[in-house]
Amino acid sequence: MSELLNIKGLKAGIEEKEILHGLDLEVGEGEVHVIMGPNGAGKSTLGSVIIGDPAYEITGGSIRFAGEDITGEDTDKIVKKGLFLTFQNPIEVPGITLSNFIKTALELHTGERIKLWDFKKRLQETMEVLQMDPSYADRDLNVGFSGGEKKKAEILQLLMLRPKLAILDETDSGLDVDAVRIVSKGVEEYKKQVGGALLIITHSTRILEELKVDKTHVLVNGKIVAEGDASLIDEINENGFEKYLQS
Amino acid sequence: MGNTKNIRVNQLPARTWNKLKMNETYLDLEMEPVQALYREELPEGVDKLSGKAIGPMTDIPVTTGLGEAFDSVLADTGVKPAGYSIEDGVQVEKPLYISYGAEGKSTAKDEVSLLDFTIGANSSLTVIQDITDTDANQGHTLLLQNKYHIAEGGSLTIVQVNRLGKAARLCNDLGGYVADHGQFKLIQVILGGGKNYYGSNTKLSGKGSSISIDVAYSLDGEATLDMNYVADHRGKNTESNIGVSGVMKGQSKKLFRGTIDFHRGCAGAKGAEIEDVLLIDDTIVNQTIPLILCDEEDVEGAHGATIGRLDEHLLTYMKSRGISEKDAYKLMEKAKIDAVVNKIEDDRIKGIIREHERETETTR
Repeated sequence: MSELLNIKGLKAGIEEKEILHGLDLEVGEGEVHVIMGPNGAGKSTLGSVIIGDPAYEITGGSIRFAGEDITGEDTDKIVKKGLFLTFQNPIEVPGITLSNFIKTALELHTGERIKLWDFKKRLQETMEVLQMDPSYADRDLNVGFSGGEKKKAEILQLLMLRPKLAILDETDSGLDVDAVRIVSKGVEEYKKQVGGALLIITHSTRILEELKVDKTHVLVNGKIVAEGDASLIDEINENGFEKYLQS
Repeated sequence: MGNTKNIRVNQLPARTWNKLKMNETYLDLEMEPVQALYREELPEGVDKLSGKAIGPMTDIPVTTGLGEAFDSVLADTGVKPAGYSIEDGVQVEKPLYISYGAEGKSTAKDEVSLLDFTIGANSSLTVIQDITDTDANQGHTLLLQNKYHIAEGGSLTIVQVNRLGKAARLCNDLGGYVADHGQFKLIQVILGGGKNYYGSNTKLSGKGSSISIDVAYSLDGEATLDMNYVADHRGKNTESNIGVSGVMKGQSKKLFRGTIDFHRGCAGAKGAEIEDVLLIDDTIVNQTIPLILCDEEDVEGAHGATIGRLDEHLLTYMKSRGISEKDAYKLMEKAKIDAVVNKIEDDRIKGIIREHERETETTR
């Protein structure tokens, strides 16, 4: 697989506190990578830094995506190159419907006006995959949505925007078994329809059950301390992170 | 200007913060304005009596938001009010449409329109006023006044859409009273006008009567908006909700006065006012006076405000979906207006607003 994401010696932090201490990571086109690690290891920071969240400062290293250096670029320019991050706690946006938000994002991605009829049809079909009530399309984005509905709305955006690489940040956390199953189905659909790469940040494994994982990375104290294939997930499930914390 | 008079308008019911000079506003008015022309679509169930106000139904004097001096100037113009009334127990299904500037005969002179609504017991009416001008560059003043008298269980909704050109000046005055369990709803969408003066004063005289006010505005360039909304609680268990939401750009100026006045005897009354302002440029002037006056112990009054630029987390979320900061502001500007427009139940005026938004967007 050709290289899609290449992170070298990444150092980044927030308010002068370094969280990532020289992190290296490579993801090829269409690959599925899993980042596992204990709380506070820097997993969510990694996702935010990749998409250029201005709350974080990059103090060293580089991030290349699809052959381009995206280190320190504006978030909106980075994601238009084909990156997507699902948020753990998506923001509520009164006054903008879910449908209008996605249509605006799509038009800004493509630079072209989208026919309303075509958009609505595709949105409706995608919502069906995620078993979302169609009325959510006309509701204000995330306003009054339950935790599960917010996560589904994130996956809906993923399916509509069709990025080259999707970073799923704890997408399965706080969801009941049924909601995890539906979200997992959405992620499988993304693989099937788009064939894009996935970087899945998680400390549970329920969302991974139906996916073929290419590589697993263990992140501890802001560094990748171990890497392996899918079998590493089972090992961590059995033994936890203890041995990596001591390394 | 020839025969003009300098008058005080939009005075707070109780003076405060004298040093900031926000208690009232002074403006010059021409003393010989003419009757404003408007096109009217009178639905079945509404009786019209030209040249005469039908109300008041009681001896309660109507006070308006712009105030006594403005009321007096209008009375001196000799322009007669048009009275609209509905008998008891009539639900008027279609809205009464009133379109200013639609006749194509507007003069450069200042114009006056006085309307008077009497809503019978357990009756309901929606009035839609589309305020525009035939020539967007015409520097004239429109003096508009609506008075209303809502009987027991009656309901009146007034929707006003301001699409005037930047050269125009609008004095938009409202005042009335609501009897037992009556309702008054006011929705104002302010998309135009160079200098805008808005005032509304509603006496909640009857027990269980209520008022809800929703205002959305978009101010650009050197546009000004001077507001004075008063919910005058007199009856028991009365309720008021005032929500004002807007976007300010360029060198625009806005002064919002919102008063919830709990009079002795209005036990069980509740009033709330909330303001939400999105500030785009640092060169704007944004002033606010939320005021709660209380002469009764058993009441609940609340006010809140969200004023500033877009929240950083919101901005990051939007950017994470490929929406630039500039586009995020445009989207949120529209959202602020749409949140109020969506409360209008008439698709026709909503379509007019959307068309106006599209036209404004393409000329930016």
